Amino acid sequence: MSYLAEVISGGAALFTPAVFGFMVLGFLIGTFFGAVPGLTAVLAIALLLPFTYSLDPVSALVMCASIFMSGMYAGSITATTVNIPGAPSSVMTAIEGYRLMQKGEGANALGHAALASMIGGAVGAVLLLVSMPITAELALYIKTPGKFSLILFALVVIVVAQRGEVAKAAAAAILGMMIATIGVDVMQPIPRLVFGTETLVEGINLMPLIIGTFAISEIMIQAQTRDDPALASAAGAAARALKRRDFIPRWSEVREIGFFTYLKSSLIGYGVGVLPGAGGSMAAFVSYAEAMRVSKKSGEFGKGSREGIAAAEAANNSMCGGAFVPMLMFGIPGDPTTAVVLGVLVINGLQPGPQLLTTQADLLGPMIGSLFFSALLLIPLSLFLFGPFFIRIVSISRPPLYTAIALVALVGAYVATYSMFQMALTLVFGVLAFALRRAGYPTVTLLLGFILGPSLEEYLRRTLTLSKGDPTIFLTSPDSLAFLLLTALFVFMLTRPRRAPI
Amino acid sequence: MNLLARLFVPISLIVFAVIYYIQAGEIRSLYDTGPIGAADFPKLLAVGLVVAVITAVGLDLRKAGRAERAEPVDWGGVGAALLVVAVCAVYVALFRVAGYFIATTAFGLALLAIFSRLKLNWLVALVEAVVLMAVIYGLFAGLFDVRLPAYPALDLLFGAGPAPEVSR
Repeated sequence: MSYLAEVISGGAALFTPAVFGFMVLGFLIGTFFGAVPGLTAVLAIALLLPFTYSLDPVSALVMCASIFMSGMYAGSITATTVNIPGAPSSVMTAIEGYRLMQKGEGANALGHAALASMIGGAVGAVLLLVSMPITAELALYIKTPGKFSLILFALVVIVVAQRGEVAKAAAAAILGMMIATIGVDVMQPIPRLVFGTETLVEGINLMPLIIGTFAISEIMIQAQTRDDPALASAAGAAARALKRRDFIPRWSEVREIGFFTYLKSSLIGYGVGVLPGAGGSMAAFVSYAEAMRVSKKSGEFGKGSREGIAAAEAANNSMCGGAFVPMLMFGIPGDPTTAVVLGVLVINGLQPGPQLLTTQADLLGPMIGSLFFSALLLIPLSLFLFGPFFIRIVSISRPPLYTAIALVALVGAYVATYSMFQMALTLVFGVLAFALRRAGYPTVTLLLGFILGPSLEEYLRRTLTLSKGDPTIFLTSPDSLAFLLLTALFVFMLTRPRRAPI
Repeated sequence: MNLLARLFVPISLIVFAVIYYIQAGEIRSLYDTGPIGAADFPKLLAVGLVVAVITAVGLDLRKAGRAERAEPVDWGGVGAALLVVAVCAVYVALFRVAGYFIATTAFGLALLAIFSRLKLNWLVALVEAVVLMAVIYGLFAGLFDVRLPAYPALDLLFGAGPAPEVSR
């Protein structure tokens, strides 16, 4: 059966009651986590990780996909209503949406955000579906030196993208790679860096690292801050001011933004998503900057531009589809969320790579379908049905919320392997991530260094063995040279000074 | 942020890198796996970490030198965060010994107290802790059919040694 036919027939599993229920549940969870400042879709999926031991792979991946899509969209809710982006990718939406809120057009702004998210998310899912076979074919041409250079490219881009903190990002990435070396060597059965213990011979599991880094450290950071009563009353006032009928964008406004803007923003978002470690905030920013550059009404940007909202939201939701490409084909996460989804794949015994299209196409169908239907159906439905309630999410009392998260995190760390050691390790990584975050070291590069480090070492050692120690093989091998040139290009593009749009 | 707070993490990372490098020096390969042995990549990483951290510290101190005013450290907030760690550590230590029900209720109550800065109605907080404990038990043990050590492990309490761990 052809790839497309297999994926589509596999996608029918999405419409079984249980799997569909998990998609809706994931959507609601992602919306909650995306809307509350301080919580993220990454955290939601990290907390979901222990549950995936008990869930079947289809349900787990469907939930992850809908959490990802809804989390990206939900950041626009509090961004618009109370000027606090629920997610970093909603910063540009906060700039424009809150201005509209102040002019009494908050519901209209939310409607535009939802429409753009819907279009961007659906386009991203379709692009993911059609681009996978092409990427899989290209992946087969990449040999061992090229694989090393590809992973090096991914790590360098992730590090350099942390503008202003490149040295700290590099340190965090290297630390992640160091943690990953604990255990058995990548090429021979000898223990390394086990510090005299037998327990560490098994290596460090991804799950305590993820839960500790995203959940425990966040709880520690939130312990330092206090409830803001002004925020709760602002949210209440905002919720009362919104009328459901105003959520539907006016056709004249949509025409003014133009179909081309939605499409271009979606393509930009998808393209940025394919880049390792780029994420929704970069997608939104690049698309927003481009929209402002070519807009006939560029003067409106920063003062309540619906075109700005559309560009940012279409891009950050389309990014969701793009981020899955390097993760599924190469095991290289496109953003922090897909890094955690990679953990879900690994826990379920699935290896990323081109073989997924032939051996696991029936898993990809429901997952891509979840991205598509979450964007096309659930985003507009949830806004219309629950919009005013979502705004009140920020007024949820923090003590029980973060206590619940801590409980789910630690108990989840235990149930995955019934290991007290894993539970303790979760806490250790939580403390480490907290200290790093407080000192300005980005923990996303720590995680990506941990995930990519073993492969980087393995391909480096294999390549030099094949070339009998000659390092010029990285330059003479065409695939490797291509990725090294790409690395140099991205370093140049990301490090040159640029003018901020506002 | 004062100098001590600013340098705590970098110094810790450098100390870790040194210990890691020494440990890497003790790795012995079983056979030749090419120009880069089992110990070489870890050693390279350790050196890389030290270089990156020193660069980061240099840039940080330069930024701090240009800043008009140093940010004060919120020691109260740091204290609350460390208290969370301490409570989590006690929870992990007592999870099997005291059993899920007792340990989790106490843990929940402690966290609620920390997040509320001790400004809470203790009875309401106890009810919240019990509810959270029950909901999470229902979620894991009920919905996902996961085994939790619900009751105190009398064998651990009276020194019979830990039960063997089950790994997946």
